[in-house]
Amino acid sequence: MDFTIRAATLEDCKDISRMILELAEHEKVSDQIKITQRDLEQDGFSKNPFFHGIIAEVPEHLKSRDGHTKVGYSLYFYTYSSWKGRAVYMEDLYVMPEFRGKGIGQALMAKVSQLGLAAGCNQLNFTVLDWNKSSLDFYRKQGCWDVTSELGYHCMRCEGDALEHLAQGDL
Amino acid sequence: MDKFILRKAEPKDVSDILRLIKELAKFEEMEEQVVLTEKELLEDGFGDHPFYHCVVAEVPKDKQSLEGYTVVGFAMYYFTYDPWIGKLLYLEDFYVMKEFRGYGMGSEILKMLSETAVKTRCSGMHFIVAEWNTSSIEFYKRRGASDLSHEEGWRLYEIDKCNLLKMSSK
Repeated sequence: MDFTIRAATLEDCKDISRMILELAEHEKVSDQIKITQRDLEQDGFSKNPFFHGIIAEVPEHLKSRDGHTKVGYSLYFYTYSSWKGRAVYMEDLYVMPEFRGKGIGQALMAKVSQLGLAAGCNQLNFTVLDWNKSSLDFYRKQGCWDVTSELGYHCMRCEGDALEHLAQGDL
Repeated sequence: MDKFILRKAEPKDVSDILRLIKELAKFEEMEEQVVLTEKELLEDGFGDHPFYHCVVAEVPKDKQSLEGYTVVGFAMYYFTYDPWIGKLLYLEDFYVMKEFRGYGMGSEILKMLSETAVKTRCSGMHFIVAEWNTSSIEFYKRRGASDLSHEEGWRLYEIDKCNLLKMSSK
């Protein structure tokens, strides 16, 4: 399959927004999306972006059934490990179902790795849902390991009222 | 112990920050995993585009630790992004030296961080905790934290440098 991987631009936010929704539907949590296309434009393409994006694009004659040529994406940002230093975190990785099995996912992930290495990163981190068997298999084939299983680290979150109370020093 | 201050870390603090990182890693039985150097901490935290931010807890000289340290606690954090809910504050490390616990330093650090999160319009604060660390889990749950690994099934994965190199050349 003929496709290209390139850095996302402001104009891609419409398609990124569409695919974020598709990925959330696949993870069965699409009602949790509060971010709009405009938020993505501001947060990803201003002077100090909070994330970076890459897009997988196919030529016009290979477009999807609904007429899209932007068929996959990855969102990532730089983080820091107090043990090892610079790291890259892959927040989203998605390829439209009709374009899977053609190496696009692998190419997107390879690009994030190249960019991470170029920025001096020593590791790539991301989270996967425990029931997502096809993704778990894909990632294990790339040489990843499950930090939660092997070291017992759990992902925690403090948000909404809990965050407000914490900020006010309430217990 | 009523006198301590919380302040933004400065370049001169990197030696203490590394010391505290190693103490925390030792407690997590991961001390040999810390390969970060003072030079990297300096470059990565105090250059034009910092990879992390840090707050430190400091006591006056007359209250210094047994070994003579006045920087006795710290938190390292950075900003991340969730495409569903937007900006987040990620708490990478959070530690107070054992002899200085029970005086509210930890609570004050967390309060300062959550104020930062709210001020910068973050939707939440994320961090990881080892499942055997029950005292820390209790500390966080008392403050309203939820366990995403347990409740939603998220597992944290890692690819190390060796495999990153393999993948980037595919």
